[in-house]
Amino acid sequence: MRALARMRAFARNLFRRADAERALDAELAAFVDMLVDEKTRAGVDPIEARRLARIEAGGIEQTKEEVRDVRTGARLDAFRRDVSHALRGLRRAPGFTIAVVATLAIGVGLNSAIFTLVYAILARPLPVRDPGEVVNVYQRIRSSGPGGREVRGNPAYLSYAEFQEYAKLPAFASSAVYHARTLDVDASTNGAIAAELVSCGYFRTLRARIALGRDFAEDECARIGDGSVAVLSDAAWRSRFGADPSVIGRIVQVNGLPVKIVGVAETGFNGISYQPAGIWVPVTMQPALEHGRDSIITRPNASWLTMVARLSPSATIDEAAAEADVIVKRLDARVPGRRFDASVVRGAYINFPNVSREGAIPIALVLLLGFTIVGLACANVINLCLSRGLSRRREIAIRLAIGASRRQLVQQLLIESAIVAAIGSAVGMMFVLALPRLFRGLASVIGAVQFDASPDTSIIAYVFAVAIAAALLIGVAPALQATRVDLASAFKGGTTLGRRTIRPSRLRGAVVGIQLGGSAVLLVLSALFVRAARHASSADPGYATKNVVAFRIECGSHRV
Amino acid sequence: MSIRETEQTKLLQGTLDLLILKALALGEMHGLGLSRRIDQMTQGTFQVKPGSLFPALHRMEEAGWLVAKWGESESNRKAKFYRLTAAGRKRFEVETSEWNRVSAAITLALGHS
Repeated sequence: MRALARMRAFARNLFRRADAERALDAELAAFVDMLVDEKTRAGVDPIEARRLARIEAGGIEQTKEEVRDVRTGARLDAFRRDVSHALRGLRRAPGFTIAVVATLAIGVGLNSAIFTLVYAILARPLPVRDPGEVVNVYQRIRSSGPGGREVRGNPAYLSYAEFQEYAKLPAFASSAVYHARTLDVDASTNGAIAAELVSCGYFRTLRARIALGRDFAEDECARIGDGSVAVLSDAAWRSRFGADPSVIGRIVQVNGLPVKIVGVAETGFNGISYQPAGIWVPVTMQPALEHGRDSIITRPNASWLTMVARLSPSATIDEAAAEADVIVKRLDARVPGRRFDASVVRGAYINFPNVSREGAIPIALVLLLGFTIVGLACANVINLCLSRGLSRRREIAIRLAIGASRRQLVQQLLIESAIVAAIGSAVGMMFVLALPRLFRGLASVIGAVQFDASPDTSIIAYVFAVAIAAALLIGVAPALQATRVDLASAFKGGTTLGRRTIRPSRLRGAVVGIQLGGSAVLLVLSALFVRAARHASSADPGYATKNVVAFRIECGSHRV
Repeated sequence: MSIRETEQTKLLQGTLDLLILKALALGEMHGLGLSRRIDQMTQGTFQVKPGSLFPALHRMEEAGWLVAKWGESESNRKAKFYRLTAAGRKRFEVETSEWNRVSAAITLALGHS
């Protein structure tokens, strides 16, 4: 009953404000009229009666204001008034608004783009089904034992023999290894394709479906040398084989070796290496693909395979790590002097063993770059707001003088900055949304790299967090400063006299300091990145590169 | 003795509610009538000004204790009349017993000081 009354009142105050206002006017007018009646009845002269009634009734406008304040939803109403006031103010100063929105859009957009990239490359789970269950197994070499370890790619990779041991862990529902490389497929289909050599549990472990044909059978990678078969990616099937369904069962030449195509993977699955893979062949084919010249698969002390596993539903990552510990000790025991550590980590590049150590500083620098950009954008906006605050001192002084509380004014200025921050961030967000298309365009120039820059909930949450931080940053300081107004001097024409000048200039000094410092950091960082890029392109490879032509020979069925 | 109502508004808010409820318990009434009735009931101790009366009436109306309807005043003017609801009546009982408890306690405390 009472809740109902409240709701009715709330709805009326919200939607039929004009009615409520009219009723209030009439009620108070009637009150004054009745006071006059009362006094004339007592014999007072009508004009005098009205004067006395006015005095007795007191400030009618104030009474109205107080009635409005007790109404249900008064705060919401005040909020709505502030929002529309702020919007009006921003419309009145279009230059200021555009400058602030554009600055924030660039700041928030660039920062979010940088975050999206770092996130997409490093932290995003592998592009597979149920990525939460997928882990990688790596080793850390403390001492490699006699003869040293052969490393292709990263020391943390496993040898085939080591993989076969880790594959037995009870915590793993299934597991696989892969090794990214390129393979020459049928000279007639245009040469080299990015490929992955994989163990036969690969598709099962990653829950990638085979759209056409079949997966590898277990016996196709049972022994080294087994498996003259291949699975194509959907993209390779379309671009190289014209999406021809009869490709299943066809013999193609892979590195000059006859290989039968047995399947085509589902659309969108391109392996989990950075280069999107077009073809998969069993890892046991490795020596044959090298025509017997290199059989790293048989060497127990070589790092070249990335192991990926899916945890069984009942197992935790800690259990898997404990079990891997047992295995690594057993492996150590076989070779005197060998001491390795095993690690089981969630499947994302950030967990790659060397990233956390060697990569932390570059990642921090890149993120710092992003925060410097957004910080600078905010500093610029704060400076704009400060000058606007100075020009608005008179307005603020008037409002303070007619009884607005400092809290109300700060709230209103904060709403203004929240509005511009929201608009700016929305524009910046559009930039982030356009990123995937941008990278697809870029891929044709720098070559395809497999990462997903499409925004997901964590990216959107990040943009929101940055937007709120920016709104607070650009709102609070200028709002507090702008409302700290000395009424007398503000009315005299807003001249900055006496004590008043100290505070704004201190804040301005800090802002200018941030701008200078941030710009310096940005310049240094960009110089570093440019230098690194130049260094990479002009590095001396140790042989003459002038007047030398590079070309590759694709070996067809003829052995070279 | 007359309490300067402007200074006492905050302190006496609960009191004002109770006085309004008491006045309306006798029958429906408009703003000026209420003001006069409270003046009379308290023998001039409380002179409720519109600045506190109307916010209180609207607050109590939105809380569901009062309902208002437009009617004719004794001088044939259109006026808004307030009336207690069932919830308002219950509220009046609660506040009355609360007030009795508090005032008895205060009297007791002052008597023994």
